[in-house]
Amino acid sequence: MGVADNLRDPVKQESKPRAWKSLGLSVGLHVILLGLFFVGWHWTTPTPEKEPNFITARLVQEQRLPTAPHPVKQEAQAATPPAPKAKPKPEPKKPPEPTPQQKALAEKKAAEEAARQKAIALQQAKEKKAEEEKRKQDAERKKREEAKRKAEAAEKQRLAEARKKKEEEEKRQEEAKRKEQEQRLQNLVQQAQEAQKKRQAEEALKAEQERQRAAAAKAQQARALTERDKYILLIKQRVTDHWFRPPSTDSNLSTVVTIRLLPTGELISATIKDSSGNAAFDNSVLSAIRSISRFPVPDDPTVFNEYFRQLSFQFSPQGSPQ
Amino acid sequence: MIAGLMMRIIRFLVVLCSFSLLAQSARAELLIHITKAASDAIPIAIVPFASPNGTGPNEDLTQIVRDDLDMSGNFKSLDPSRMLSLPSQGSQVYYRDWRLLGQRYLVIGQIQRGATDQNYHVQYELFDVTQQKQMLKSNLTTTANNLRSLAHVISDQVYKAITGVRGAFSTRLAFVTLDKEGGKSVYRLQVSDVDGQRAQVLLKSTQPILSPDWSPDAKKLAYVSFETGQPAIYIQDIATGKRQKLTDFQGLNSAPAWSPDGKDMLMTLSKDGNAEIYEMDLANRQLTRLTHHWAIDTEANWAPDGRQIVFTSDRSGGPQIYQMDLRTQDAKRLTFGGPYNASPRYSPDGKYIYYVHRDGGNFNIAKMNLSTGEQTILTHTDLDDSPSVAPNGRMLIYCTHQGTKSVLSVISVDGGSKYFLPAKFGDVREPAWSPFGS
Amino acid sequence: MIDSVKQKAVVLILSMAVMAGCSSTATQPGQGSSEVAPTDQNGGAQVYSGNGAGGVSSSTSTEGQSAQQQQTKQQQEAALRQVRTFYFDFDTAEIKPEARDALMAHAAYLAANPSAKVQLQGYTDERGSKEYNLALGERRGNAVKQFLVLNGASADQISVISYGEENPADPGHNEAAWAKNRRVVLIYK
Repeated sequence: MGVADNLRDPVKQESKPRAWKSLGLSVGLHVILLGLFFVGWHWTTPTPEKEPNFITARLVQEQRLPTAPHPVKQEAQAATPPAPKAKPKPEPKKPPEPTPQQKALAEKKAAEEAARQKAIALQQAKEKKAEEEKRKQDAERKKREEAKRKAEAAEKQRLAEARKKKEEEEKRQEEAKRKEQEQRLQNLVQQAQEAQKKRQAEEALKAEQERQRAAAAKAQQARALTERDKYILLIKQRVTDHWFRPPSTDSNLSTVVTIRLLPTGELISATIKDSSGNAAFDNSVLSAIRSISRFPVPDDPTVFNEYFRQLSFQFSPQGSPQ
Repeated sequence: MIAGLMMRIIRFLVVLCSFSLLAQSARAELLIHITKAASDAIPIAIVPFASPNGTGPNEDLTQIVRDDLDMSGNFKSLDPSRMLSLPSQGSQVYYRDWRLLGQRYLVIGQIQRGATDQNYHVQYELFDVTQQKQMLKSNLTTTANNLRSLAHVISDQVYKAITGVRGAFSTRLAFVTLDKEGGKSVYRLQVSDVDGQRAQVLLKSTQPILSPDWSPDAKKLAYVSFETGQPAIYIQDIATGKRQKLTDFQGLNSAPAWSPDGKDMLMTLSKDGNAEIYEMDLANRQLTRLTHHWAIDTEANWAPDGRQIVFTSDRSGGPQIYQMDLRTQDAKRLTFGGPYNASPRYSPDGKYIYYVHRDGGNFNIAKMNLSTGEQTILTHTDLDDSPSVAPNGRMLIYCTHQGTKSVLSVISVDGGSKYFLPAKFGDVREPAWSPFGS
Repeated sequence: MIDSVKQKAVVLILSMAVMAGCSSTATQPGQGSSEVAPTDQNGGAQVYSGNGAGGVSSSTSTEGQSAQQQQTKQQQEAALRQVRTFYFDFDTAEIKPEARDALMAHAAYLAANPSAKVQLQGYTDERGSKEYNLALGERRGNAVKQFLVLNGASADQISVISYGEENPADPGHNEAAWAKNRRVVLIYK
């Protein structure tokens, strides 16, 4: 190949006719190379690889040609498909020539004989014919039967195949059906999910609208309740500022204290409604409440009366001090 | 006809509804949640005790009480110079004055020396300013040289009355001081009041003294001394000064830790090759080895129930804290935050441990909630070590640095306040807070 | 000869193990003289890299050294023995590569003078737990002891005591001071 490559470059530089020539040369070279390649391949084929061929040949020869003297030749035969050989036709037997003396008698005899023979022959022929007929019939019958059987077998096979095909078809159909069903089910589920999603989205939207409505309402309410909320915050801050927690590792303590106030914000009473069980803690709560000289309360008597005349605090020590 | 009935039913329902709404709004009483406090330090005014007949001591006892309560981090005492009046008996108390000063509690009292017994007699009262009531009235008597003890008793009583928690102001501290005297190091093992006063030297040595640990009855100290040139564990009776050498094995003899019942002692010895924890039966000095590890195992501390110990081991590569069940001797690692956790000490209720935690480049005191594993860093200086918890579990003392000196600092276990013990010594280290004792 | 080289090789490999991951310092062939340490260094460097052959040739060259060279060598060793303090990184007991030559010289001296005794004092910086630091100081002392023993000193010539963070060489509270305080000090008794 390398040689060809080397040759190709000069070819390109040459004029066309020469190029053709060169191409021919190149092709020829390639052919030679290819030939060499195959020869080479044959040469280099390791000998042991031949053995299987040899064995095959012998087997063939034993079966068909018991006395073949040259296995190698047979190899060639075996290797090439055996040519279709015309069968030698059997030569017709000639009847013996009769003598002249005997001719009359013979002729008579012969005639008789011939007649007999003829009869016999006729008979025989008849028989033969009959036999042949029978054989023919038999053969025909056989053939018919064979054909029938074959036809039957074919039919059977056809049927079997058809059945099989049918079964497969059915199976396929079933499968398809099942798949379809599954798909349908899945679709249903998906639809349901989508529906649910949609519903949820709708609900969310609804909820959002509701929330907005509620928020709006709340805002409105808050505007109305501003007074109350403002004072809740003020009171919470005031109490927080006055609470000193006693040291305690127990953060689960909780005390609820209820207070009553005068409209001026002054404390009327403070009572522990729900004790923490820890006297120091309860005391810190009461102390915080009572240390506030005046609670911030709204001036609006209706708001005061509704929310601030009496209110409660829940003290729990979670969280760090402010 | 039917429509009329329907109308009537509807009207009835509407009325019913509005009635129940009304009832509801009538029941809705405001409930305000308070979860934050202004501070954890309660304002308290301790008025200097009067001495009606002029026989009171020169020392102001009430300043001792103020320092005690301030040190706890749970109180903030009012400077006497800001007081509007100096009442000494209940009839002289005007609550409004103290309320104006933002005070919650008020302590007033009198002190005088007995004409016959030469003892000091104190009568004092504690008032709740906001609730305008007397909470406590107490009479105390003591000898002249025990006035400080009397002051600490007042602190304990006031603390308990207000917080419900036993005060730990009458307990003691042990620590080691290091001074340079004539170019030589001088170590002193000392015990003092919790405010660092009335320090008393138990041992003086030019060689290191380390790791003091109190006996559960607060009468003895175990410690490590290098006085012979080798470390050895000693037990010393504080009152008599009598002492005995417990161990002087080859190698380490360190980290003595008395068991809660006082019968056993944990210690670190390296006699078997490297630092391991042993338990010594103090009655027969029999040793039981508790750790078996090529790593360092040291500074064991008993759980209050005596069933478990915590200790430091670097078996994971760096020092970390482990807990061991003494029956199974199975050790479980407790600390996973940071590369350095050491010197564990149980809280008196056994629910927490306090330890040295390295956070970045800083060594701080941290606490861990043993049930949740939650860690809280309590100090924020850079070279803190040797935590020791007060027996009431509310305060913690540790060693830190001020300038070039090492000093002792007391904080509330909530990490709130910080109080430096007056440093009368060169370097103060190795604090050990005593138990309540008997 | 070869046996002794082998022994030395084993010793050296073990001492390398003690150094736990420290890179070996370059050895100077001219140093190889009398008995233990320097020969070890030469032989060791070669043994460590392959077989003992190099060690043999190194030892052979040693025999051919002049008395003057020997004297120089002894002076060098004596100078190396003036190094008595060996430093460590935070929370480790790993002997640093730069400590090796001096420790070799001390090991050689102890091997040559069986009656000599040393105390190894282990120290740490002031940070962290005092108790843990006591144990860490001991670990440092033991690491140095092991190194000396593997290089010819006898275990009963060496005692170890840990002072933990006590007796700092530098009383400062900064990294420069701490670096000076994380140390083992070797004291001839």
